Amino acid sequence: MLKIKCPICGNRDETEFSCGGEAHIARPLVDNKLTDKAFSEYLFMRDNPKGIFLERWCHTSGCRRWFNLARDTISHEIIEVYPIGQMPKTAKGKKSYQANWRRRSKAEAASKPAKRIVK
Amino acid sequence: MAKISTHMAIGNSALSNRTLPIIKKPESLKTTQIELSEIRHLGKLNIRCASKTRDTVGRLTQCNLSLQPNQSNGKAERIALCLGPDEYLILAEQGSEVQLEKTLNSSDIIKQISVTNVSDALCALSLSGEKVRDLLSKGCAIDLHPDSFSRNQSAQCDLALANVILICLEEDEFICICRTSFAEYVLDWCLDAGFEYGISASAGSD
Repeated sequence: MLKIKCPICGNRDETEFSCGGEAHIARPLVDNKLTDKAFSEYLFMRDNPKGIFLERWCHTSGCRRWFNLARDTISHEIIEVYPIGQMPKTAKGKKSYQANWRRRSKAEAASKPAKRIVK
Repeated sequence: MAKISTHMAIGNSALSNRTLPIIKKPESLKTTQIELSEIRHLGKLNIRCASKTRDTVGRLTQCNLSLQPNQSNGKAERIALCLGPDEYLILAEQGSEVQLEKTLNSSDIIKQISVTNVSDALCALSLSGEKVRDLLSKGCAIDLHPDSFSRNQSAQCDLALANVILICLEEDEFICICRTSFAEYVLDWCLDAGFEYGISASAGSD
């Protein structure tokens, strides 16, 4: 069983938490027109790496707050716990964030406001 | 047409289906080492407020809310718990929580906070006795050693798979708050797990 350090409650058993899957999936903005195929990358496709994975977790039986966690899927080592809305701070976490195929997907590019063309 | 009240009668017990007191102990023990009873007549208010409105809420409820998550303070008649960075639970004498709710609802900050009366949704059980930490640690994964879980600390955790809030009042005195629908389950579990220490469960006073 994993011992997870909730940022609010401290070390608790894995059974008190629920995993919310891959973290850092940004929703494409409605103004940025996307094909169905590109939108499906956001909606359905999830990463399943062998190595460091950035996940969202919720302390369901405790404070009921969400947080991010960088976990090694081979050794189950928890590299880092960091707040929702923030980026990983450890080198391994940053590397995993950059290595994710999603960083180069059309859906992620469309999650940022389109640049306005100034005439 | 008769009015149908959806609320439980004031002071109604979550353990009203059970015939109390119940005493469970091995024959070799002369006395019980754990006392369990329901704390009836306890009002419970759940308050969500950000740090900028916290002091005002504290003043209106006469509670010191400058707490870290999983800390509690206050005396027996009014206890404030911090459940998260912006969430508090106030335990007050039954009836006074309605007044507190009205006070908060009529205050200037009501649009910035959320107040919910959860008196009937939650049931408070009082657990005391020298073996109470041994009993709780059978079903609860957190470290209950007096050095790490002492007076004025609380924890939201699982007790035998039921979601509870544990509050440490004194070294061997705890309040266990669970869902009303789980009260009988928690009682049964405590009676079973506390058999070896000797446990007596009694109905709270009216």
